Amino acid sequence: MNGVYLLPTMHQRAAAAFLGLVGMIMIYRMVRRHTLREEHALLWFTAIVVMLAVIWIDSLLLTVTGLLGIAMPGNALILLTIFFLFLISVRLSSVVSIQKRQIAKLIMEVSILKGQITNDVNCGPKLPE
Amino acid sequence: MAEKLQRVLVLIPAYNEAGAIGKVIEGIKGSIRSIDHDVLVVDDGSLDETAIQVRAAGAMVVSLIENLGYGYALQTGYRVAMQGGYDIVVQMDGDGQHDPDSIKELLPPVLEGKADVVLGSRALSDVYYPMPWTRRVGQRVFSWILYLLSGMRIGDPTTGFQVLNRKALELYITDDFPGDYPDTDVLLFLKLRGLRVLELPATFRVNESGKSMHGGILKPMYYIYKMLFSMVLVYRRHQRWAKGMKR
Repeated sequence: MNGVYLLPTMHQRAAAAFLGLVGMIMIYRMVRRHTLREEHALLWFTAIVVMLAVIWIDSLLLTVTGLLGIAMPGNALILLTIFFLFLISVRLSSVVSIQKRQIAKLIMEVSILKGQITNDVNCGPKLPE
Repeated sequence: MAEKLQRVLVLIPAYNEAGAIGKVIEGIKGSIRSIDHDVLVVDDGSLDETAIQVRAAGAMVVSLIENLGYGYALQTGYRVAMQGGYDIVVQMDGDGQHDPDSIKELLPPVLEGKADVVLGSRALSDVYYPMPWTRRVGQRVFSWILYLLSGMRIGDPTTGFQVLNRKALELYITDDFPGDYPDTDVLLFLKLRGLRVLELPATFRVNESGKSMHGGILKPMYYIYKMLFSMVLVYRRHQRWAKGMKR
């Protein structure tokens, strides 16, 4: 079976370009409204640009398909999408883990400081300062 | 030359221990009256009157504004100990499981500079402590892994009854100290960093409330995964640290 016949049609490419554009506008607006950091937007922008490039450039799609050892280019696109989502999820898990430790440190420090103040107010034994 | 008097802090992490914490503090004060000490309870976001009862019993209290878990509650206490210039920390549970009379047996090696950390052990004690067989097996397995990785034989690696000096405290306040279930992985960390760890018998009482941080089905499973993974990480991090490599 010749994989060339299974390349995305013009209709599919246009749909992908439209969805990619909508996604980019959404991400841009989120960054503008401070609900997404530039750092994390970069991950999404990169994923969209790479996916669009693979969809629009036949030689690139066929190379990726061949490298992955997959028969149909459509399946290679799905695998690539899953891979990007995996990378983004791992990155976000790492951010959450780092922030959990930072928040814990803040809670510890704030609680110690609060203890130093409230123990004075409650006339309890004083915490060391 | 007069020897400098060492400052001792008894650190108790507690979560919803309103029924027991007052008695625990009184027990400590009675048991180590002869040693100059302070008692600090880190209330890990309790929903009951733990903090009020601690103050009423005349001990210091830090109330965490959110429940952070056992490891972070301990680390809060270590930070207070470091800031306050304490030389020795006695760490024990707030549910009354650890007999305060054992503190007198555990303190001397650290006071005399013969050990950096002393573990109060159920395994070495003459007093029988009932434990589910699954936990006993788990303890043996972790004990064996610890021996394999560090050459250190510890019969009760999950004990929370410990006495430690400032050298250990300095390690305990770093990011390497785990926020959840600091047990065998911490002992491995201490040993690899060259600290002297000693295990001595201590009396443990049966926890009448029946509460346990290892209860249920999922928690023990997570504990096993976490501890095995954490021990491998501690070992690998140490190898890289020893070679001066970035972790």
